[in-house]
Amino acid sequence: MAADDLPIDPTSLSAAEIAQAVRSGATNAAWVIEATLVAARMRDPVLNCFTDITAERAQARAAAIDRQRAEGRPLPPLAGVPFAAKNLFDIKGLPTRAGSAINRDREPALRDAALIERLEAAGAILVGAANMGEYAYDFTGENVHDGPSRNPHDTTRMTGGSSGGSAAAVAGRLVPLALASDTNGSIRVPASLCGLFGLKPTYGRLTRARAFPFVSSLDHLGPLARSTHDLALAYDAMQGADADDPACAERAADPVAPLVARGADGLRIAVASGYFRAGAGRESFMALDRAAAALGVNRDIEIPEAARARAAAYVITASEGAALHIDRLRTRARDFDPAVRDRLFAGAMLPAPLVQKAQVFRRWYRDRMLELFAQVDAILAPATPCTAPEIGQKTFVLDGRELPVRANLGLYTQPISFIGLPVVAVPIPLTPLPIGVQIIAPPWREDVALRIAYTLERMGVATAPVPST
Amino acid sequence: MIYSESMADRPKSLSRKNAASKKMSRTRSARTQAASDPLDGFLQAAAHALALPIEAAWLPAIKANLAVNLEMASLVAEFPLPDGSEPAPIFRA
Repeated sequence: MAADDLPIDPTSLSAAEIAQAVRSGATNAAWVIEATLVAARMRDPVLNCFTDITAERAQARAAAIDRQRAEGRPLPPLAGVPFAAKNLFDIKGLPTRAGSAINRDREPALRDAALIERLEAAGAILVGAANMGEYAYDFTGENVHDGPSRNPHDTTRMTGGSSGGSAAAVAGRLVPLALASDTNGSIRVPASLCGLFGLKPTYGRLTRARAFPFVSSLDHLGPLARSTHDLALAYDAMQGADADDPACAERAADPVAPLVARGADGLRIAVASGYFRAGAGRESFMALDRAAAALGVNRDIEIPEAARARAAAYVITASEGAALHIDRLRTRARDFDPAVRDRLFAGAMLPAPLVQKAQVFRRWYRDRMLELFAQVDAILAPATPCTAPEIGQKTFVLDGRELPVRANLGLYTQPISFIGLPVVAVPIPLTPLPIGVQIIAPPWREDVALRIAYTLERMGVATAPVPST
Repeated sequence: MIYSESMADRPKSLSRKNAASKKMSRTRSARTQAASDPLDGFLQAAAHALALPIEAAWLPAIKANLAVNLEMASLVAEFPLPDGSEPAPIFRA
């Protein structure tokens, strides 16, 4: 079918809508990919989302899906849906750069990352590798080698990181879906600054096989999208045990897409107080209060020792990150982003007993959080302390203290991922810039967080705003 | 500059004499700093022991990051927990 006969603009559609349009024959996968590649050519020079475009591969996959339909075979749930993957995911034929210059010397990957394979098995089509902060040690979305990814809502501002290119590609309407990683907040921070829905699942839920690591104790992978339903569809396609990732739980898939429309009725929800009510700017609290009011939440709950939890996550990250890179520090120190290199060197000098203390505290803190989840089903908290800072901004003032942006945008995300709790970040469309709210659920209850996100979306309280630029 | 024996990497324009003189001066300077701030001494010793090729220009930022790391670690370490407390990762054979 010629493109003129297919007037649907897939860049304005959700993943679910694209898959439905391909299934019904209202459009076809080849047209979806053609339109996506055109959009990438037009918008990527400004947004700087992609470090590689996998056009030929995407066109071949699209043709295979269209053949499948023409032959009358059933199409999978994400048929024809284009997606991007942060460039720490292995992509067959490309060196996995993980935001670095150093990794470009690696041999091309022989096989795709497990989550790319799973999304493509569900019919989705990879269109490119996304820009990211070097080795994921970043909350800004800036990259000294590839340039910063730019926030589609104001291109002078940060996307947040480290999954900045993934977020810019989804918020900028280049793709409806992207794969990202979150060690301390790298899905939730860019979701907040770019106005997206982001799911950081329970630690161990989604396989990390063939993704370049950062901090094995804390690394999670997950999706970014513009709707709760798209998050759920992608998440369901990616679940399941995987012997190739020792941290991946031996749990059967636990599909959530059929559950999200149940909404939040009957769920006990509280707002995090104490640590999560200090330090942030006006926009963070405005967004949080708007979400809480819409859900009729009037209960506060104190997460005990959250500041210490954040500190412990910081220590484990510094030490494990340095352990991963110490050989590269010895041989190629000048090839790192200086901001990353200096943090890694400092991490290499942390005495082991202090790191072990952080791991002991981690278990204590987890036990306290599980006690809280006997009282409530979910907790709301800010995602970031502010809306998107200017690109290049080094410090901001929180609670009267001038602090580095790079290390502190994840102030509210770190104490949560520290113990692997599932979180959905939902976008609250404030003017002029959006900001996110975290919906935090007990381990393995992604469904609870997604049901609440869906409720806020249905109410119009949470929505991914269309960029004005 | 903190030197790792194998990693010393001087600008090529420096003569050997100048480089040696500057190295001595830097070493004296580092010793003076180490006397005034224990963190300088720790940083220098750790860089030597771990063979980390840290250049002089990088020192202030690394020191600042190390100070934050240690501040964070202290906040965790001062929290009292019983001796029998298990760390989060548990190895299972």
